[in-house]
Amino acid sequence: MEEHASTKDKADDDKNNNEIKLAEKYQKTILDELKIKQDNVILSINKPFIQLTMKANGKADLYFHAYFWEKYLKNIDSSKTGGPLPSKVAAKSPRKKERRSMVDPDAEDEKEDDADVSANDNTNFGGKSANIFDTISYPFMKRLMGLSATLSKVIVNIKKFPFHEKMYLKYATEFGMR
Amino acid sequence: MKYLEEIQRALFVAQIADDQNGLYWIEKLLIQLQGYCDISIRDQAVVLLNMLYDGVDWQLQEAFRPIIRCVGQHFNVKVIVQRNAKSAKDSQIFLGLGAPSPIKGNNKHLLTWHKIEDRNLEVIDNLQQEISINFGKFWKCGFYDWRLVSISEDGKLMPLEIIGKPAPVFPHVGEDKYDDYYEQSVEEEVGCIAQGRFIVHAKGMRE
Repeated sequence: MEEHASTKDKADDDKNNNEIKLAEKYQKTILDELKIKQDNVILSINKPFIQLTMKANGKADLYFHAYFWEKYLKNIDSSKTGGPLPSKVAAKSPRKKERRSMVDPDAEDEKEDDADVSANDNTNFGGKSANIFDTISYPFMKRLMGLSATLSKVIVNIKKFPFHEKMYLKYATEFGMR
Repeated sequence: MKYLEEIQRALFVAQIADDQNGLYWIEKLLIQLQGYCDISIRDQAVVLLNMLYDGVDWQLQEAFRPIIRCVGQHFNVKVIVQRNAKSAKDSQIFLGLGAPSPIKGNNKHLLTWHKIEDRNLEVIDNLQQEISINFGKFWKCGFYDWRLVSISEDGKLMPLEIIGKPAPVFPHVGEDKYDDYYEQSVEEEVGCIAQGRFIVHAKGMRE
């Protein structure tokens, strides 16, 4: 049984690796064709956030706007201080995905995803962070950060609470027995 | 009730992720619950079915007070809400509008957000302010749902509450005569949520 599970995990790992490689290849091709260098990229947006916002039919718009502005202002931070612009969003390792699916959601996932988001959003200059738009000088940043954090929470919940036929049968049985 | 809370959470997730398969199974379950022996479960299932069909969870706490209008009539939202003088400077107010798409041939129901600007606000005193927005005229038949939310300084969305009596659902014929079911019950209500629904009929339907 365990052997079967590890084979399946390995297959998933390979599949994820291939998908990541393919996505990187496409991204490079697009940038090459448009003659855009990495230095020209001024803003990188978390892809799952865009996908969620597109699917949500307006329900996530306020959160996405806040995320966009938060990200944009942090980019201004880095360009003003002469530091490197945030590089493209780091692809999540398949190993991490595997861990996520194996661990029971409650505590671990949220921490992990919060860490992912903050890692993506932190503007770091060789270990030294330079935040012009900090929450003390600019109180509105607190609002933007609070709103944009909701996106990652929603994504965690989408992973945690899917509803399919099996769940339907579970609830139908539970209600039927009462 | 624990199960219904789980179903509510799953419904929210399925709606925001546009999981059509999930929505299908949830709808099926909620319709079956209409035949359940416990009335409180049946009632809660009705509320969740409304949430499913509305596309938003605005009727979870409180039902909309529907107002009947026709295409071409003025679409104004005017309410008096609480004003928190202390946090007014740092908070923002938005109006969420779920309405049919204004594009001809596209009848999708869209949710859009509109920031309440200073021009929409009239401060009455330290506790009250009037918010009025003019969306022009109703452009299509359908449901026009709206809700006012305030965004706190730490980025939390909170619905606003209406002060006083909400606008009547049906126009009065005389000063003392009315036939408004919603108005009779509103006397007992304390602090209605600043939200509502216009049900818009085709032009000329009420003439």
